[in-house]
Amino acid sequence: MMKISHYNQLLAISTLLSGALIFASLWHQYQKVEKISRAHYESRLLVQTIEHVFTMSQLWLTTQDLLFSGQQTYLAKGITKQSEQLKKILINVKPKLTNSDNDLVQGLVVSIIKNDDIVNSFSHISAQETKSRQLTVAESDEVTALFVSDLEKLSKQISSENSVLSTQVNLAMANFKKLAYLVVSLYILLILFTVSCFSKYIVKPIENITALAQKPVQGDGSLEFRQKKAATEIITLSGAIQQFTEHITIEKSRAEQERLNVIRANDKANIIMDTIPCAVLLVDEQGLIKECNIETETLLHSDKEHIINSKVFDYVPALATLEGQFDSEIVLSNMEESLLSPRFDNPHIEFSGRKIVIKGSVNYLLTLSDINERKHSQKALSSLNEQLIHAEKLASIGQLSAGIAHEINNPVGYIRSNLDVLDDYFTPLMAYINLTKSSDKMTEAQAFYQQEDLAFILEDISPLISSTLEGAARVSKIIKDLGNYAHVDDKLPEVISVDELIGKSLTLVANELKYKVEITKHLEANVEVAGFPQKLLQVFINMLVNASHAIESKGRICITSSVEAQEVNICFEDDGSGITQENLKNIFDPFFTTKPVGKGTGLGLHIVRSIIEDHHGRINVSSKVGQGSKFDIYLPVHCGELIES
Amino acid sequence: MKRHFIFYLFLLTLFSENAHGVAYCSLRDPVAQIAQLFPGKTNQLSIVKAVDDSTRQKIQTALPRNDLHFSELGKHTLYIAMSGREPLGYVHVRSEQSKWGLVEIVWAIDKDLKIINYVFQRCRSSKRKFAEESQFKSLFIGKNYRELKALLSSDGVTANEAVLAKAQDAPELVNVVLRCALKTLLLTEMLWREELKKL
Repeated sequence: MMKISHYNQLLAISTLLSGALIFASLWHQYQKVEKISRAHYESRLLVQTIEHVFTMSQLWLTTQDLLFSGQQTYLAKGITKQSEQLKKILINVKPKLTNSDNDLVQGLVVSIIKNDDIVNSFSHISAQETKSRQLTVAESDEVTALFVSDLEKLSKQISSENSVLSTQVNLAMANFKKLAYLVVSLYILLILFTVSCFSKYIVKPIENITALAQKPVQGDGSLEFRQKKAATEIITLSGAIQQFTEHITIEKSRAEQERLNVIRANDKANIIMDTIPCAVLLVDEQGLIKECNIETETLLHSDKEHIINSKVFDYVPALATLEGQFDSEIVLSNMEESLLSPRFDNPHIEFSGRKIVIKGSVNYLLTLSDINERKHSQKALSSLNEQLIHAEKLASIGQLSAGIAHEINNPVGYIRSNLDVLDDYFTPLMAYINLTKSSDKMTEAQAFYQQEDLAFILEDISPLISSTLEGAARVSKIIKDLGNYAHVDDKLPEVISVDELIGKSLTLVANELKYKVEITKHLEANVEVAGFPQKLLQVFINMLVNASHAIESKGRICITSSVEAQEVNICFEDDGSGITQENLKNIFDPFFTTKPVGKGTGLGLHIVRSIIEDHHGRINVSSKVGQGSKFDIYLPVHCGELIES
Repeated sequence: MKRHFIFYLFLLTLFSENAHGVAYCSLRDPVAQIAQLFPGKTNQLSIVKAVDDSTRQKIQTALPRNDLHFSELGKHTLYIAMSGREPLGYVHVRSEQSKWGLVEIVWAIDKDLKIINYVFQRCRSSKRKFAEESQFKSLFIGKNYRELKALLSSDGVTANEAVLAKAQDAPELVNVVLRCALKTLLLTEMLWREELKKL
């Protein structure tokens, strides 16, 4: 296959060459025809000249005959002039003739000359010389007959030559026409062939491609654009179009697949959006809700039409700034608890927001979760936890009750003893007082004073009262501490001195510890924390009791308090049996205990950690079996947040 | 019978001078040709008649394109070949213009005015010999005026295709001879009919 440019070149060259060939051949043939035609023309002129000679001869001879018959001698001069004319014409045509013709012409001229002589001689013969005249006429007839004969021969030869030339002209013309027809036919055939090639290899393939391109798409839309019999460019072009259409088909299929995928994804997203258990909203930079799911309608008790284009902070006031504008920073919170506007009965929500850019515009994807149920659960759980803590506290009180009773019983015992002594002292003193009331009995009184040794009694009463008061105070303190411990905390936190609270705990567990534990205190914190004193007291009692339990017979418990950064560190360290590494992982789990059944609830340390975490604190433990355990409690100093909350 | 004879003698007396004197319309005396054409003639008569415009007009009417030339007007002689007192036939000499000048033909005509024979008194054509052959002559011999006129083509001056085919070598000469023959027979009948009836 050739390129279109080659076809063009072929057409141009073939047209040029064929045109040149045609022109050259036609010109060559035309030159032949022209040459022969010229010769023929000259021959015809010659024929005409000879015919003219014939005509002149006819007149010449007729005149001569008239002279002979009419004997009018004045005709002789005219005959001579005609003879001159004939000779002149014949001499003029001589150069145009062949040699043989020239001989004939020469003979004709000679005959004319001879005849002129005869005619002249006839003019001079008298009318009476009939015989002489007739002889002269006979001589003239002989000469003129020869003249006519030669002239006829000449005419015949020239006519023959003219005929030959005419034939040649006709033949040349016929050949010229044939050649013209032939070359023109060949030229037309060549043009038709070239045009046919053009049509077959250029026009037709383009028409095929055009028709295919304009054909309505049917079936899978696959079309064969490739042209096998065409110019190189068209083959390349059709291949490119084929590739392009195949590429389009593939891309179309891919796009269709992607469209289906998008539809599926959209359906999936819609399903997800409609089934996701939280409200999902798309909010623009001004806080206008642009899209939402069904759950939003449920949460906000409104239909989508009303929700769309409404301000999100109309529903969630926390998302508005103080100026009443959309707060684009708070919206980016993660699982932030908040409240719906007051018109909602169940206002508790939790929102999370993300910034997303859609088509160059900043938007926010906001999820609102209904946490009212969780809130109720939390409340219930909190209540349960409180009850659990209280129960645990009661349980610990029960455990401590014997010791406390013992602690109370001691002062009560010596109070009673003191009161008995004081009661013994009361009677003599009253008798002395009565004696002293009357002046007359002063002596008696003095005696009685001496007798009863009232001086000693009076001296002994004061220490007794002091001891009693001290015992009462001690009981009072124990009872007060116990009462505080048993008392349920207020719902509002209080400012607590950690060191004092540790002292109270030691009071309540003193009887538990004093027989086997040596308490070492380094209470150097001397700071206050915000919290619930009963709960923290419960923590410290639990720490001390557990340490006591870890000590089998004799041991030591070291209590320290200090301030580290903004935290108070309270450390309970014992040298008891310690905790295995395996159990260390579970000691804060609820209901985990290594004590025999019925001896422990397994909630002690769990509650400890729960209380500490409620105070935004933390507890660490380290222990080695056989060496003891160390519990470090960290509480924030004067936790404002706790007070605020 | 005597009256007739006397009349003939009168005629002979009247024309004998002409017969032996001027041969009108002929260049030369056709006596030799008369002897050639009528070998059995013992003597001859000549009747001179004048061809005038009326005759020329009649000829022109009969042969529209083959009329008489002006030079042919005037006196003309018809020769009667005689065998003793018996006319053998007529001899009419007539010239016809051709491309070879004037062709002069001596015509021998029988008493029924049919061509018997002819000889050329003058003919410069190279085909003269051909025209003197019997095959050529047979085109004319034995034919009267009407039969000869039938040999003309539609133009009225040339022979038809059949005649030309028989004279392929001398078409111009056959035309000249035919035109001459027609005028000769017509003129003979027109001018000399009465006189010839009386013979």
